[in-house]
Amino acid sequence: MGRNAAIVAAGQTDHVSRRLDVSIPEMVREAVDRCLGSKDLNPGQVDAVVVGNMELFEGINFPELWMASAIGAAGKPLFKLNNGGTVGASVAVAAAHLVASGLYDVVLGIGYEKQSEGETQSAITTVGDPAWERSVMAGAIGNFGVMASTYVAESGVTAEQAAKVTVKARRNACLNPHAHLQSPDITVEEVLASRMLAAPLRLLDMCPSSDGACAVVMAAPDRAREMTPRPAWVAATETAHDTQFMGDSPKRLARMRSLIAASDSVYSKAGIVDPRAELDVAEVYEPASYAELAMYESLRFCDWGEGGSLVDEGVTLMDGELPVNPSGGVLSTNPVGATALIRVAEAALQVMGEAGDHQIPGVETALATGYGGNAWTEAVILKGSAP
Amino acid sequence: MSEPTVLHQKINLPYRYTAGDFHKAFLYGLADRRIVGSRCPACLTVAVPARPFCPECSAHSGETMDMKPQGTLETWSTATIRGVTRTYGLIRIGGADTLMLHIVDAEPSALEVGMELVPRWSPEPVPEITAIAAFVPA
Repeated sequence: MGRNAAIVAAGQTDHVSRRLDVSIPEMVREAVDRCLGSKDLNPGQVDAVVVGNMELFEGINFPELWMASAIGAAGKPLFKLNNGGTVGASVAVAAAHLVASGLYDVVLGIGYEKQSEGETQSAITTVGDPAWERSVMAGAIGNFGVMASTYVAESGVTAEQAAKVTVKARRNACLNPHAHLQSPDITVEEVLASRMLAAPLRLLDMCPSSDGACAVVMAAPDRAREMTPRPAWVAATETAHDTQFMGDSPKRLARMRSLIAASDSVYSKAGIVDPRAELDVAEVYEPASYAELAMYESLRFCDWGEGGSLVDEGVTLMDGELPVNPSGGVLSTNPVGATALIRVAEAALQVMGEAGDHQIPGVETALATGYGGNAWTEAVILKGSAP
Repeated sequence: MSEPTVLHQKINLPYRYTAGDFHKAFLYGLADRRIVGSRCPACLTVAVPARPFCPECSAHSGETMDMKPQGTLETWSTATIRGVTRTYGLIRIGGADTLMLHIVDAEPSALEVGMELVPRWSPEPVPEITAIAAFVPA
């Protein structure tokens, strides 16, 4: 990194299945207003904007043009990213790079999705190669099913252990006023009794489909210190890609090569040797309950095959040794283009001490990850003191 | 203004697909009831379907090769999409280093990791992945 960058403000909408009261630009503006308003900032202080969502999801091309007036971007540098589910974290990483480069002092990063307005499964099918996979694939859930069954075969993780991840997420969500699905009384038995979607994944093993938006402000050191007493400093970022085809890297479904590469890189850059001991909180992009357990292993929170034990022992509960997704995570809230930015925003709120009822006490170091269809990972380490 | 206004529209999105030499070899091989892969001249990775660049090291692929028309089942999921229940498997064709996604036509309870499968060819010899209707237990 050239110079340091820090997140000084974060805001998001209250995520729901369907926002019928606002258009997409109005919904995005709501997140921007909440973000800027949390620190009494105004659009005039923003030097550049980065915006991201899922291509084709709402049937709209050039989405950044549609919302330029809503986000105060007209006449300013405006960068669009469209790299799948991980795009929100890519927005944060790009904003950090724009600030760290010295080109801009204050950058607004935005992620959004109004999933109720499109045909998500049809749009996801266009990811598949036209000649090889489109005719024989089963949308996102079928792919996650194949991934989860690989993980079960390799690690012996049980349906009960996966169900505990959903229970943790939906209960944590009750402490987060922005979360979509809040289930204070959800049980393992309820998850295990829910409808089978793509074996071994049941309905309650999967993330929902949400309408929502999220925004963060990234600032250079002197500006950051003016804007907030405790910025969330970007200690390390990494982006890692894999190849397109599910079958090309047989082991990557359970043990994502891109997640291992990105997390190892940020640990190294931030001087983290034992992530379970040194991280105070993690906000990971878990598309399904089983995926979170697999991610514990790739993120080196435990040894290979021990992801299930970690949830059995309560290590990742709100009051555990390393809380994972105190916000309720993706299993509770999933406006796709915003989802990975919500991970970064929630990690920043934890470091800034602004997470409200789901605040983990004394967070100094936080990890956030973004995930896109087994093929992309972003990883970000935020710290309470400047690196 | 109390009721929300929601417009319902639909876009048709026609497209064309230019296969290139390696994908063409795979697709026309299917029409001939052959499964065609490619071997990397640099790291010797064998990939199915045949493709122009090595999935492991990105080198230009060398020759295409006919694979033994047999596969082993590595992982699968059974999903019901829009009322249709199908099993999707990742299959290792002829001992290749990569797996290929396709439909497996068998009772899910009869499936095991590593079991041998063979293609069930469609009656129509078309240069499309659907020339293989499904993989079935050998």
